[in-house]
This record gives sequence, C-alpha cells and structure tokens, in this order.
Amino acid sequence: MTDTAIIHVSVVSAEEEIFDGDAEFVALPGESGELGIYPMHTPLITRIRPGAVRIKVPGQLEEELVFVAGGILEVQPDEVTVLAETAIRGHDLDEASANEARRHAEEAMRNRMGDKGTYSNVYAEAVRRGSHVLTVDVDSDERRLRAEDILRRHGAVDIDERSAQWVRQGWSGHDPQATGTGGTVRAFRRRVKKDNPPD
Amino acid sequence: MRKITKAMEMVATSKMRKAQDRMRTARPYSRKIRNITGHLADANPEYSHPFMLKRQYPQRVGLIVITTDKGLCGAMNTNILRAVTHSMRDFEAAGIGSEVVAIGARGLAFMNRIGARVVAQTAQLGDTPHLEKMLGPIKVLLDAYLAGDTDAIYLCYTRFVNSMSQEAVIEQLLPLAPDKMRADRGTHSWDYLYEPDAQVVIDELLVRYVEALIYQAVAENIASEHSARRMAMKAASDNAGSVIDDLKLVYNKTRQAAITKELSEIVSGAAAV
Repeated sequence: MTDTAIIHVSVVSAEEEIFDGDAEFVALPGESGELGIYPMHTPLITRIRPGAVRIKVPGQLEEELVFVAGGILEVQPDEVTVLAETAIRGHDLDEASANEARRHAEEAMRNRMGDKGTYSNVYAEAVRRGSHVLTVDVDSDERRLRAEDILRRHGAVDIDERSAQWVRQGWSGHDPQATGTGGTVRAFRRRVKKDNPPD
Repeated sequence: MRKITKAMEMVATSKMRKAQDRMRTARPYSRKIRNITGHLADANPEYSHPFMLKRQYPQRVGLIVITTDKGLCGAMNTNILRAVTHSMRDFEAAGIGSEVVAIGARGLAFMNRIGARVVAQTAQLGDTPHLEKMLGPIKVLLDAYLAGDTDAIYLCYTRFVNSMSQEAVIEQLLPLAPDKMRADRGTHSWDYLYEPDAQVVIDELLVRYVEALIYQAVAENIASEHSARRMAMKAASDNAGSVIDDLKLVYNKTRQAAITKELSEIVSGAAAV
C-alpha cells in the first residue's frame, strides 16, 4: 500500500469544534487568494476570509466542505489549525457593535431613578410622601420569594412600581428641602436571626 | 408543589449536563491560541503587546460581572455579587475607580441599584450563549484598556467545581500573565511566516484569546447555574416533604385534641346526671 502523506486538520471556533481529522490536502480562502496546503508546508500564520475550507480526506473521493466566517489559519509541517470566527467580523462591524453597546449603557444610566443612581433618594421621597419603607436583606432567592410573598400579602407596594408612577406624574428627583405629609427619614435595622423565621 | 420542584430538578439536571458539554467544547480554541502565542513569544522575544504589560500605577479597573438572568438558583448570584462588592470597596479604599460590564440580568439590576458605573451590558444570553452577542460589550472594555482609561480587567463569575459545588471567583483577565501564555509542549527552532506581518497577527490572536476566555467564563457560569438550581430545587422538594409531614402531625394532634374534648364533655355530662 502506498503511504500518502497526511496532515491533521482542526477547525475550531470559540464555541465548539467544527472539524477534526486527517487530510491529504486543504484549500482555504486566504486574504490575498486561495491557499493550498499540502503536508510539510512552511509554517505560516495568516488570516482567512469568509468562505469554504475544502478538505481532501484520505480514502474519500469527495472533499469535506467546512464553511467559516473568516478567521486565522496556523500551518505547521504536520498540522493545520483554523481558528474560525462564529460570525462575520470586520473593523467597521466591530466598531459599530461597540458603539451600540456604549449608547445602550449610557441610556440605561440616564434612565436610572432619583439622583441618577441609588435607591436612597427613592426611599427619602417615599417617606416624604407619608409611606413607611421596609427593606429586607436576604441571602438566597428562596428567602427573597418568601419575603416578597409576605409583604404582598400584607398590602405592601413595590417601590419600583410606586416610583415609576411618580415619574409618570412628573417627578424628577428627590428634593431634600421639600415638605411633605411624611416625617423625616429615621433609619433603624432589625436583624432577623436565621433560625427565627418571620412568619 | 413537590411535583413542580421535582420536575424543575430534573430539567435542571439535563440542562446542567448540556452546559457542561458546552464548557468542554469551548476549551480547544483558547488552548490552541495559547499554544500559538507561546511559540510566537519564543520566536519573537523582543515583541511585547499592551495586553501583557503590567501598569505601574493603576487608577481604574474594569469588572466583567457574570450572573444569571433567572433566579431560584440558591445563593449563587448573591455570592458572586458579594465578592464583587467587597472588591470594589477594596479598590475604592486604594484610590482605584471601578466600572462594570454586566453580563446577566441579576447582576445588571444589582449594579444599577447600588449606583455602579455600568459601561456595557448584555443579558438574555439563554442556555446557548453566542459570542456574537458579547462582542460589543467586550470591545467597549478592551478599547478602554488600550486607550489607558482602564488599567486592569477582572473576570467575575461562578466556577463549576462539580455537579454539587460552585465557587464564586474573581480572576485577572488583563494584563495577561506571561507565564500562563506558555505553549503546552516544548519550543521548536522554526518561526512562522506571518502574513501580513507579525504585529497584526499577534494583535488579532490576543483579542480573540481574551474573547474566548470571557466566553468560557459565561459557558461555565451557565453550568454552575443549572447545578445550583438543581440543588435548590432538590432542597425545596425535600422541604416540601417535611412541611407535608409537619402538617399531617398538626392535623392529627388537632383531631385528637377535639376528640378528647368531646369525650371529656360527655364524661362530665354523664357525671352530672
């Protein structure tokens, strides 16, 4: 039997392995034209464009076709690796993506409640309007659900809902000088021991 | 109630196994890049990249905070968010500012609540995360790092230790540790042919390497999520069992007390006669 020289070919993306096997020959869409790689090729690193990677598998007449959205090619004498992109990239596309992410985050920051940030202003406003504010610190989702359930059963209103209502009525932030029906903010904490359920 | 938690436990188990597979398939990519850059560094010892250089006097750091979208996963999110808050306080005490990239709705809501500076965000990645959705936020942070607006970047997520145990971790992502960029096998004498040139190639490789590490952390976080949810549902299921037992006991005692009361009334009535 004649011994055909083979190289090991591996096509991987950040998410998964796409192809792993032996080949007699690999053709790839290089940046400046089609690249043909035979075994014992000079070591090389270059980029490839989106397109089909054609792999000639030993003992098979048809070539294996692997479509990649571009990527980086590494060639060693007996091994070819394609680091494939999961989506088509490009300088302009990436830049646009980042700009959209920045815009999204800036908008989200601007929409945050009260003094463009913390809840302390929302709490102060609630007290000014005559409500009591109850906050519960819990250390797990199960307890949070129990706490929410208990509060709801006793007629508590979620402060996010209430403050959204204020915003709809034209509220733009807490004014510490404003008077109201409520008292001043007094803070106190009750520690609930873990073995002492509130119910 | 017990049926629901039992069903959720089973779904979480299957999702956990799939998430573990995804964690595994993500690894070869970053390993290969690490090997290539290891060889490149050996062949080009004089070349250094901003991603590898340590900054003398850091003033701002970036934190990539990875949490889940949904709850009912025990204390998983609470733990990582507590660790992140401690870190932010430590940085603040050292005069270092911090900004956050939030991946996951829970962490995003938390960071907004505490008034942290959130420079980019993404959520609803689902059980099959796609790198594509993360690229915009990642680039925001990498651009800031290259421009010198951020001096270090940390990856904060929950490591999947095994199916019964998860661990909140904060790992330094940038600058990359040079000793971690070694190739698995030894050096070789040849150098690559670089097209178009070595600098462009190394640049692209390192950006993709950082992206891959972030993707892996997200994949791992999802595996941790399903494992934590499975444990939480199992605990809820067991608890439901014991609540049902308690209720039965109370019912029986109440019934017995009522019977006794009735009997004693009859007996005292009989005595009166």
